[in-house]
Amino acid sequence: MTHRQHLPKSGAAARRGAARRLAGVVLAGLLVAPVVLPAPAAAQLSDSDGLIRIGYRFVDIDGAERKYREDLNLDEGARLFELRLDATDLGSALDRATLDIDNYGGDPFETLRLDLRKHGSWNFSYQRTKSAYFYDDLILPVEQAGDPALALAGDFHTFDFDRVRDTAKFGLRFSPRAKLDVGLERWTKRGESTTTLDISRDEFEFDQPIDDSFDQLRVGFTYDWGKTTLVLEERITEQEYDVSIFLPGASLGEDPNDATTLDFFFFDRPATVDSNTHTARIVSRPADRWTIRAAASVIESELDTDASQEGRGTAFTGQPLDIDIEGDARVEYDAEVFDFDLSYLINERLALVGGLRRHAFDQQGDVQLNVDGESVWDVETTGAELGLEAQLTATVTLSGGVRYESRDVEHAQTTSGPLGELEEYSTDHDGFWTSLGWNASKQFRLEVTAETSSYDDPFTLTSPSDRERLRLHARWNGDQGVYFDAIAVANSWENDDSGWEADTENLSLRAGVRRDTFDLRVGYTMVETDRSIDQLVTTLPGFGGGQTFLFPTLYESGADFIDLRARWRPNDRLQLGADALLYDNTGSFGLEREDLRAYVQVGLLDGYLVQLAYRTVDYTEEAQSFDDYEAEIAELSVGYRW
Amino acid sequence: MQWRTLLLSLALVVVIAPRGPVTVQADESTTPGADLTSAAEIVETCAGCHEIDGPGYAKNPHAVFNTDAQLAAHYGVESSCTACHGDFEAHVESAGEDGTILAFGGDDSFLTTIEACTSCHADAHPRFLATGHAAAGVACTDCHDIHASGSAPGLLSMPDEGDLIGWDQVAEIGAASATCADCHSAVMAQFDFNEAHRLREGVISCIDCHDPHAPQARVRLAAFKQDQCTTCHADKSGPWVFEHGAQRVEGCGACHSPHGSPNRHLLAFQNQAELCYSCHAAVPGFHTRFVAESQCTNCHVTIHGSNFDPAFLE
Repeated sequence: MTHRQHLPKSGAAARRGAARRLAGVVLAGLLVAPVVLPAPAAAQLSDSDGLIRIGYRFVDIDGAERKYREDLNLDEGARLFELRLDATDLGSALDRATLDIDNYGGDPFETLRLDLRKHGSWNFSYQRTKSAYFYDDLILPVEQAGDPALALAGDFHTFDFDRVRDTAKFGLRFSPRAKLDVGLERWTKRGESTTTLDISRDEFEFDQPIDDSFDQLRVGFTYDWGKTTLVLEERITEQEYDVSIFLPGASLGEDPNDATTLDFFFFDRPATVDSNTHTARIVSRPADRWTIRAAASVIESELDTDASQEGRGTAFTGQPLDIDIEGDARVEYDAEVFDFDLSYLINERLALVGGLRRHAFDQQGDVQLNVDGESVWDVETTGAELGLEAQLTATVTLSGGVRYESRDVEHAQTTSGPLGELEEYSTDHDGFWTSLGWNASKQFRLEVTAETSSYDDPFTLTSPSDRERLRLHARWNGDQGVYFDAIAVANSWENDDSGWEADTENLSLRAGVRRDTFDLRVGYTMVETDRSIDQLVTTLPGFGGGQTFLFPTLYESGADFIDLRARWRPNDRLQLGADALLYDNTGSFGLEREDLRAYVQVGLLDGYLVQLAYRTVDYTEEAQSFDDYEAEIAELSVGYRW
Repeated sequence: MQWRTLLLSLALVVVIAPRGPVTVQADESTTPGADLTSAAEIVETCAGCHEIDGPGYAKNPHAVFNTDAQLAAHYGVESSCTACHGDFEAHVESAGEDGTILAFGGDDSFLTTIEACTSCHADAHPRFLATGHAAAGVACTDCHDIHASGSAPGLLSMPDEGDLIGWDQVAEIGAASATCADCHSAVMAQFDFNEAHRLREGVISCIDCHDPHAPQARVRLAAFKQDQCTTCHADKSGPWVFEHGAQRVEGCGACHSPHGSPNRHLLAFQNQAELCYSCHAAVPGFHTRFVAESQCTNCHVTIHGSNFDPAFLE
């Protein structure tokens, strides 16, 4: 197997120099313009306002371009950076139209949002988001890595795909009583990836194009009797996965000393999943202060896949290898969800809340390919909670409650012959939560929230048997836009059976001051995580098994984030802004990233504006430098605001 | 466990608690759907003392009560300001004395505010009182600006960014996430990890995964824990002939840190073997040749579930 190598690239110094000179000239012009240009006319109040800003982005990367694509992935080129439209003077049929578009023209993260509505009559919204995902871990040969462990640390999987999600919703109110809701959602994931398979005791790397789609139609009808509302909803979902794996060329496999080779190999396993969800929901306020909600959903889902494998080469024994099999797999499940919620405002200062849920999941699957397999999963969960919320005094709120959940899991699977006896797992969970709020003054507020949970027979060795959470939040809003905010959160989990322990401590300190012409915000956040377990691993008999060894695991992460955000508008024509984000992670995976940004924007005549922005990112990993990169990004844009 | 004792205590409190009046709606004696002249007179009376954003408020969805008496009648409220603030006669007669009208602030209980809003919005947010937000004393008006005329969806009272454009926080992450960030800054920082969901880039928002009006913020009772994730990651939802039990029963959070993480694929560990060995204490004998840094998924390629191999090898 050929190991992929993406060693650091040197930067395009000449291009970077030209971009910097251009940026310098533009910056000088921007700083002079507010002095020589007359002040713009005062903004006119209008029933339609908006902004469009287009421009060009210059990008220079020095170092691991692969890591840059995983991290920022912003490319050079012309872009529609933002388009905002908010219109309200649209006649009697339409009260408001808003349109927001960000980063169109080739960016990895594009968004478009359109919203049209006539209050109380109808509304339509459409949203499109694109998110590009790139992942290409470094695989080093042992001789180059130096440390064999470092060579093993690589991931043979690579991904380079786009997720695009389109969501459209339409609501039409026939009358104050009746409303129709229609929703369409389409989700696609398309691109390239690589994966590995073990063929005759050797590992081979394969190409695996990605072509997945998800379509859902939702139709809901709401009828309101005033005190009671009934909602009937139907969801139809279709998922398609065009999964095929193939060898890009003849290969000796990962271990060239092994006899196994492949001349060609195909593994096709396209799959479809069809689901229907039927929901009925009633919300009733039989009297003031009472709200009762009951809902029931039934979900039916079915997966079908036809698979075939074909390949030829040499097996590990040295004999010819000839693979030609076909088969199929089928999975069906039914899920039933029942919800009941109650809230009762006993008086102006005391409320009772409660909920009851039941979720039943019943799944059967079978496959005939290289195995004759079958599986069953039954998961039944019942939960309840009950609490009280109180406004004790004009400044103090207190709430508390209890919760309980019971989960029964039955499971069996086989790869040959009939299913054996079902394995049963039962987990009971009970817990308590409380929250105290104190508005000491109009300026200062303190919140304390605590939760504790206890679980009997956790499902996995890292599922908690005990969990505790404590959150403190203090906020002080001073005069003249000054504020301080502090949040501390501590979470701890442990599993008595396995000795698993996990702790997360989170501290956020923020301060800011805002005036008419400037806004300054500074923050510090700490996220510390520890996870540990001294696992006794037993190797199964065969291949030298039947032994027990200690596999101690201690994961530590200490992340510090310092951020600064400053905006200054010295006059109506000029805006200056700067952002800094300093991120430092220590522990099991040490790294640093500095992200500095600045921009200057000048308002020209009649609503026109021009903006120059600059950003630099410096990413450094502690253990080795293969993934380090520095990036400089400059954006020159012009805009029009109305 | 002491929760049974707590349950009995709660029941006792409910039984003995005094049932005072709750003045959250217009007086029941007022005629629902009062005529528009009456509504206009009320608005004019209020505007005599309060700075009502006249042309701006007309863009507010609540302003429909000023023009649609039929809709007001449907909700059993009086048109105009009194639809939410209740009877205003005592307030007018006392020249605006505190406590004479429902003002959603000051001495008014957060429960009163929630009740006032959900009396009309019960069908949309019937469970808000049972949320962690309400439990912490957070009322609707802490996140929503009821009189707003801006274009923020749901009348969100996002942190005011003014018109300072250019890497503006609201423009970056959306009004919903900006509103959440105002109180949840400790969580927001987790999106600054080197591996994180694309919230900073505006691709997702907090409400794509969290419903701030539903009890799930406190505990997701009796629901599959991966439902929030598979809305976007449908390809990981299965169903599979051979399920990864941890995912099917405990959800994606068994292996992933959803907001952000220093580790690839938002995993809880940098080294996959440490993650996998934490649960899998029995493995075939030849696994002794692997070390902590080994990538288990280089062989167990379909780790989220497989239709063909119970060990997730294909």
